[in-house]
Amino acid sequence: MTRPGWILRLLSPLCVLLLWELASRTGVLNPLLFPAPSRTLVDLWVLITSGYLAKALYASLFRVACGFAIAVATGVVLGAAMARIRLVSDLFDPLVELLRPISALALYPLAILWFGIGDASKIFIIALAASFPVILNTFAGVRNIDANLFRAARSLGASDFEIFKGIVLPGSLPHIFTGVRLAWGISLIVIIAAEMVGSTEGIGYMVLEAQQTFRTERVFAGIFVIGLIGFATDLGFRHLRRVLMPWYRETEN
Amino acid sequence: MGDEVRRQIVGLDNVTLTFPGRARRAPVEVLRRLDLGVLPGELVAIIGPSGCGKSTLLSLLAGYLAPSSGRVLFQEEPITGPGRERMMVFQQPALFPWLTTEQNIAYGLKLRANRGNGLVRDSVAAMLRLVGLDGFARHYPSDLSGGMRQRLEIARALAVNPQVLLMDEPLAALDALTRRHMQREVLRIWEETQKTIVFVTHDIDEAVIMADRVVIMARRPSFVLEVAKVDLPRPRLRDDPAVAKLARRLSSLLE
Repeated sequence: MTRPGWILRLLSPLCVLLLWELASRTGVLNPLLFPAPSRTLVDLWVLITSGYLAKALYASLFRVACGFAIAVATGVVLGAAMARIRLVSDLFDPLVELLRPISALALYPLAILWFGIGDASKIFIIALAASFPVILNTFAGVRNIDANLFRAARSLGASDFEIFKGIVLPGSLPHIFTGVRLAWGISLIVIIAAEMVGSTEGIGYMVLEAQQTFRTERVFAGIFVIGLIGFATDLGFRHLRRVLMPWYRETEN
Repeated sequence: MGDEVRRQIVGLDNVTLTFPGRARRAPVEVLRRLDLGVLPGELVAIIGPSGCGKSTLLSLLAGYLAPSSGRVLFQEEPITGPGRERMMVFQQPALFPWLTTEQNIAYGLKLRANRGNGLVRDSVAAMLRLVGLDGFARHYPSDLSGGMRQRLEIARALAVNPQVLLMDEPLAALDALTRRHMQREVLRIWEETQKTIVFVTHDIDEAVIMADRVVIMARRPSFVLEVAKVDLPRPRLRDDPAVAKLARRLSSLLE
């Protein structure tokens, strides 16, 4: 993309914000429901300087990181094992297919009963919800590896371990990566929802509490931060893909 | 015959191969009592009607399949699985897409099975030169043309110093011009390395131009219909009367 195009692309969101600012200040929009963007920015500053935002972010991201890590680790191992070992797929496939359609949030009340209202219940449902895309994509990734690659590696003298490390993992990496990205997105959605339903800290709780105390500018500030996290991590994933898979030519989008 | 059996580097001895029938279908007998011996350093072409089991025969020699009965031999020992002494070159190159040209060639050299067999870097450089990919060491397979991928596939196979190269329609996926060029390249590589080559093709001209002997296989269940010795000096041209005559005779056998 050329530079002028980049500037043009900033123009429309900036115009919307400007109009919103004017409308809110002149009373065309109810400032209680649509606070001016500048007030949201001021509140964001307050949240940052008071350390409140950092505390909420830390609580949320800690849960996300734990649940996401569990999901990726178990998902890759289970997905790869299901793709390569018949017994494992016979054992786990029905379980995965039965649990997958159930919304993880529907299980959240149960998770609270089992693990309480603290970190453990959130980590549990994030791990559960985020593991499915990893399992399924890893499975598809391993199954999609050209059978002749295994044959070539065998002829060259590769051992089982060398084939796993040198063929199965890199060969399924593009798919695994897609699964991991989906898992991250799901983790972010689940944590916000879970913190809104039952929690005493975290970014989701912060937004809900602001809503209940009618601090609409804080609700917007929270939404902005949540969006920023999603945006920043997506950039991170794109960069990671270029680093991990320089050979990979993405055909979609 | 006894003398020849002793000298052969790979061979099939009275081999029958039957694939078990899947989903209530009858078993398929692909090869029936097939005999074939290949001498060290020979370039043998295998032709036959499509579906006659040419590729299956190579898979047996590579050790990817086991015969239902009979013996598949390498230096008089039964073949029990894939091995570095018999390398396959696939029709659609089975290159590792996540490795660069030089990493693909080095793959077999860096495995435990190869430990202590000299310097990887020297071998890779020698292979790049041999197949003419000097300038493309850092390219990924997706950046290479069809002909270059096939060269790379050959280089990766030769890097582990096999005694036999098994080529499964290695040039079939290439355009006509690249194909002719690669025929000469394979011959040059064969002459430089003195490897034994068994290669499957469906192109009779290609077989006659390249091979020492042409093996013609019968329809399924397949056996060796005839082995034709090509006693013509190289380089052979496809419009050379002797080449054309032999090609015509062989193609009449296939009809």
